[in-house]
Amino acid sequence: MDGVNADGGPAVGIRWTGRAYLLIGVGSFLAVAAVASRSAVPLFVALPLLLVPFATASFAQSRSAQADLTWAAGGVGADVDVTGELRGSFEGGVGDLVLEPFLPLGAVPTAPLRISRGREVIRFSAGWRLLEPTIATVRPPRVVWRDPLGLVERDVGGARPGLELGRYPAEIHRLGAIRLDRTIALPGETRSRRVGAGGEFYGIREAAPSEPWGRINWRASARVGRLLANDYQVDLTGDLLIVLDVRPCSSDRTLDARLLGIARAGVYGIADALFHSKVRVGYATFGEFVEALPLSTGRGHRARVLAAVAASRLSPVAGPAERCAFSLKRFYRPGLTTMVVSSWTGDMSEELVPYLRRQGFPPLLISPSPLPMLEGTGGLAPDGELLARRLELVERRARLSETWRYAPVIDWNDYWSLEGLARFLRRPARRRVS
Amino acid sequence: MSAPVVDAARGGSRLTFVLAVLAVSLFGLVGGLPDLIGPAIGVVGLVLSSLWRRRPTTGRTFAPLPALVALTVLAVSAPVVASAELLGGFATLALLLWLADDPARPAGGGRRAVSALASCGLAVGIAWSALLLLPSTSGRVGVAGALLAAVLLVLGYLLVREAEGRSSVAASA
Repeated sequence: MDGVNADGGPAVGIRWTGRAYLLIGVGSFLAVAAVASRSAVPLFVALPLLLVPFATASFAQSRSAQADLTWAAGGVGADVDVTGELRGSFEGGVGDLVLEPFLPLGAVPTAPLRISRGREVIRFSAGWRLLEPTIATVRPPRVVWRDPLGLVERDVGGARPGLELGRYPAEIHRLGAIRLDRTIALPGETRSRRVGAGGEFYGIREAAPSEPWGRINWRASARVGRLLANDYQVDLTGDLLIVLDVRPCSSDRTLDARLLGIARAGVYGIADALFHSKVRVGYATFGEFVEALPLSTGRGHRARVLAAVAASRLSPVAGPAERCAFSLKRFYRPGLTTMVVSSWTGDMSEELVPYLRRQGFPPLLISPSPLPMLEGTGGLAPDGELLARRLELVERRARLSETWRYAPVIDWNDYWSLEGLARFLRRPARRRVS
Repeated sequence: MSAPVVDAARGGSRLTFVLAVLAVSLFGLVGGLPDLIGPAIGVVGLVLSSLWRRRPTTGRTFAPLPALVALTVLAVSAPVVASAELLGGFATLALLLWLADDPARPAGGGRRAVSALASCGLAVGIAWSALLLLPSTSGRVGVAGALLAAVLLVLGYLLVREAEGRSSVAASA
């Protein structure tokens, strides 16, 4: 896992700070001055300055310290409240342990890092505001032992896991209550019930000779004296394929990465909400090539999909749009409702939706807009900035209207709201939603 | 942008500052500078260091620089007398004690640093006693040279030891 210090053992390696070098430098100068001026006074001043860094380093080497971190994130929406504690063994007390300030990418602090110290525990809390929806693993804060004089420091060992942080628009939580079959543009996506290997418990039947052991109901079998197996009721409200476009779409890689972060958070929330209503969900990313997870439901598949979403990264190379459409046919049957989440900042993104449509995948496009991020970056006067924003908005609207010929488009302008998607799913009509 | 840190145990004592001011002032008084210029230089250096240390920036690691410059000026200009030698060492120790009592760190830093400072104080005491027992000028320079050589040897030994420790850590990683 990224950002995990799981070695568990005491960390070694002492680093001298700039202050130690300052003391040694001044002390050396005084020692040389003493010899040059044949005076012992500078030497008496130099002696403690030269000795103290080594004395503290010697003490640091002999101290053992280990700190295990437990922390959690609370708060609502963009506000994140982090609380945690460091527990472990600290030879010489916790006074010299330093918890360095930490802040995840794309967050601003709203509350100071508050630290309180007990005998063998350090508790801390912090407040952040996320600028955008985020699915991320926050790296654990750095914990170091630093001597009181601030001359030497060393890393402190212990298990310190990353903090899983997932924030996405609140409307996504309501998607699970929406009948997905109303979103289907083509036939074949109807609500159905069937008995299968996964889902809610349905009943017990005689086990077949080739029955997997995991499906045998051992208690019932013991009661009746022969092998019985469980049946499960798979409640399908429709299947959904989510395609995340991870191609670099603009020349600005930072902008692409931020847009992908927002798209990832949206996909994470949508998939999570749909799994709650037992929708079969498939997930694919398209960078240079397609990477796909098959259609399925259940807790195991949910964990697989959510992990894959969280691990999605910007592809270094952009593959052609037709490759995505053709490759998807190898993994999924045509006719499957397809939700494409693409940052939509370049021409080649426009081709993806028509190709998917032509290959039989009825798409719905969710497009995080780059315009809020570009606001104020042009270096223009306020009037010029306003005009530039309006022109960019007009151009974006024109592009989106071209895509409306092939698929409904959700223009995701306000990153903390997906009301447009929720409204569309309630009343799916071929009209503009923003 | 990083969040400010509020440590409930944050401390720092005025006592160590007063002690450092007294020690530096006394050192300045027995120094070679006329009138009260010596104590003034020492106090100004300490005050500047104290103000620098209170600034919440990363450069505060170099906060002792003004006080060290003041000490250097006083030490270089001081006459070769036993009281100046003793007060020079004492002023440096007091400065280090004040340095350990950082208001941005948990209280009691001076107490926690006593073990490290005690070894330095012991070295100063031994050196001063040796100087008193060897009153001739050549003897003083000889002791000074020997001390300088010893310090450089210790420095070299510890640097080599640290380098070996780092290389073994890198090899095990």
